[in-house]
Amino acid sequence: MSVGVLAARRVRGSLRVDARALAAHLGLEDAAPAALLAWTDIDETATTLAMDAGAALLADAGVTGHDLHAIVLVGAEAEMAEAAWILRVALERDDIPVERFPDAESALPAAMERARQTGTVLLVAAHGQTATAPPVPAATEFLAAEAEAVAVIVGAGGSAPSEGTTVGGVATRLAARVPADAWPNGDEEVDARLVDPPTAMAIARAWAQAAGREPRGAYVPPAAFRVHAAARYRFEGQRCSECERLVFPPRERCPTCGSLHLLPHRFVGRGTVFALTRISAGGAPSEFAPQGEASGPYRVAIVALEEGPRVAAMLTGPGVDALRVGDPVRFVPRLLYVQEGVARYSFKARRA
Amino acid sequence: MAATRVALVSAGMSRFGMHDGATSGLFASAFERALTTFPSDHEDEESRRAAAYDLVRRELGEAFVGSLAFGGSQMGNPAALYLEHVGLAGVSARRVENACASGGFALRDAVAAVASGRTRLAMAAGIERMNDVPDMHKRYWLGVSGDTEWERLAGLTFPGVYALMADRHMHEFGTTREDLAAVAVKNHANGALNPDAQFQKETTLEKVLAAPMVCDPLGLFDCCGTTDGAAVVFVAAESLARELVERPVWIAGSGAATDALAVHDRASMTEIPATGRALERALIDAGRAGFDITPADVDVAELHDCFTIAEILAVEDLGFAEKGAGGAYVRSGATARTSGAGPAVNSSGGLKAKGHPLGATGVAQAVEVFHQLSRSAGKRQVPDARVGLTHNVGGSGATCAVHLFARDGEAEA
Repeated sequence: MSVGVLAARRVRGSLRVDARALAAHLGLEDAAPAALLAWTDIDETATTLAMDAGAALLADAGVTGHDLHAIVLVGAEAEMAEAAWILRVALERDDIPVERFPDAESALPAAMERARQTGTVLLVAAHGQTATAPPVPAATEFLAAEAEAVAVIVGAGGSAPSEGTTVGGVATRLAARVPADAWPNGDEEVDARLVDPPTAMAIARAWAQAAGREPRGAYVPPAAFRVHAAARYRFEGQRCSECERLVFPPRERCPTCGSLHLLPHRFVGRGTVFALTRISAGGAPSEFAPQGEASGPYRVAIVALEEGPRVAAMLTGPGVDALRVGDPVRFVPRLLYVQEGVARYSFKARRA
Repeated sequence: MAATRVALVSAGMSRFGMHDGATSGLFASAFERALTTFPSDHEDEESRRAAAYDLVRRELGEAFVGSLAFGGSQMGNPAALYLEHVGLAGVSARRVENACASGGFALRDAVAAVASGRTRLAMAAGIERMNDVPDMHKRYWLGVSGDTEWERLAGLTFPGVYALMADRHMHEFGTTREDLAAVAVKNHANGALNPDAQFQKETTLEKVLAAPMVCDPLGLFDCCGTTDGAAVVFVAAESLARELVERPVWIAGSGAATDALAVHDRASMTEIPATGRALERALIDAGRAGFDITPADVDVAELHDCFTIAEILAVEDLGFAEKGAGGAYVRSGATARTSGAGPAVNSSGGLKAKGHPLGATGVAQAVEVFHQLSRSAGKRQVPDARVGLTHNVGGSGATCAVHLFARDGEAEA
């Protein structure tokens, strides 16, 4: 399994994955029911999970970004600085305390302690995390104790999984314990999907190779990402108070009437496909070359947002090849590439 | 001071393709060829060049060198470098940049410098060196002319953006891959007659359709290649032009416009709105200078076919074909060199066959029109060409320059 997510949440009957059965298989039946989720796309990392699925998981537990009391991060300093900042923007919590630990072994007890003190903690492990993993029993015990109060997200997307010491290895061992008939078959409606271990291993290896290669491409400085963070991670644009035109991304003046009086407007993050293309290696920006080599040509669309303005977005997720002009899509946070050791994120579009 | 009419008095280009040696040498080869096309009473080439060079040294007041400076090895002050290489250090000169429209805007600025009376002679040059950088480096630079934040980070460069326009044009108007391929076939047929073109071989519809995909629906032969090349033209005030030649080729009008950089921010994805705006301004400019020109009068047109879809959009945007009917228009053969049914489009081979050294293209388009209107286009000559048009676009349509040309005595109001 390239990535594993252990979360304490209520069982959702609508999920075709039988979370209860999985929990039983994993020896977690005494906890509040747990679901094991995995992601398969090369552009998903622990950070995107925290922003996307993590937010949903928190919601399932009746918790929002405003209920969180702390974020505990696991990983190398440079990557974690960026993840901390992005999570603060995405959760709209500039003030939330963030603690960083070099490995999951030291992070997990700290997370448990924070949870006991304050009630709610978000734990994120970086992609590429190769430090010693918490043994499964400890995680299980933790969940049993704090089940409904805590969402625990553990990611290991970047490292090639091997037995024993890595989080990826732990996840692989977990996956190996799940019998074949518990795996769903390509259920594309479910956000939470499982892949069989061989597929997961292949994906993790490809991703590790891609992540390890520094792309040479347009150097978009950190400052540029920060200026437009609210647009990129929360879909905040503008509405012109004089001519009512909706603007995305934000501008200095209204593109239609030139007015300076632009009010904040939050877009819902959904739209329809307006135009499509598939980009092969020769047509791709150089910074996406590693991705292209690892997972082949990718699709890009112009999406007409529900509210009117259009945006360009790479397509991701299941059913990408079957998308046509006119199909509904929604936006999800995803990894673009890693440059100078720092992961860059933006929104991509997936089937709605 | 009243504006003076401006004439295109000489034009030269290097062979487009792969260039060995220094980029300044590439500039020099275009410059020297421009010297040989100056009007002159001398018979032998050496005397013609010497006389022209003396004139340039005496009269040249402004030089505009269009270049993206692809590769970045000489982004700063290239104009000074190239001028010094040909013994013209001292002239007021600068690099002009609007991506692939750099040359067209250099021409526009040269025309304005003369029309305003600042100088009697100005140079418009364009130059690009694209093939001396490693492949990954090249791919980086091929993506710098779009919206970095909102197009490039979605995984798009140049061909991807045009592919999205093609997809939408096919969706709205039923344009087919065969329509796109017809553009490539026609332009390669013209390029086969152009000794300066990068590609001088004809091709077939089948070959174009069978080529590997670059960005669906654009395949390898829907896309122009990467090219090294330079072009140099001289524009002169009427008083100087009439000293040099009895029947000058006039630059009748110049128009230019910009638009949103990101393709999805424009009013339409099935046209390049800046083209129509630039054309309108060029027509008004020509009217002010005493010419009477409409799109129907154009005999030769060098249009910006960086991708086959771009030529289909251009014939619609310039009013040669109905909106949405550009594909059918090209398939009908109306744009062929010998059709007479409409302007001969890209008799030079266009960007597709002649090549597209980014900054040089807008000036090289003027070189072709100069030869057509001077009756010196050899095997590519369009019979009785009197009015010409050049159309030069930057990126996917963020910038556009349109120029109109007329043989002396034609298209007068």
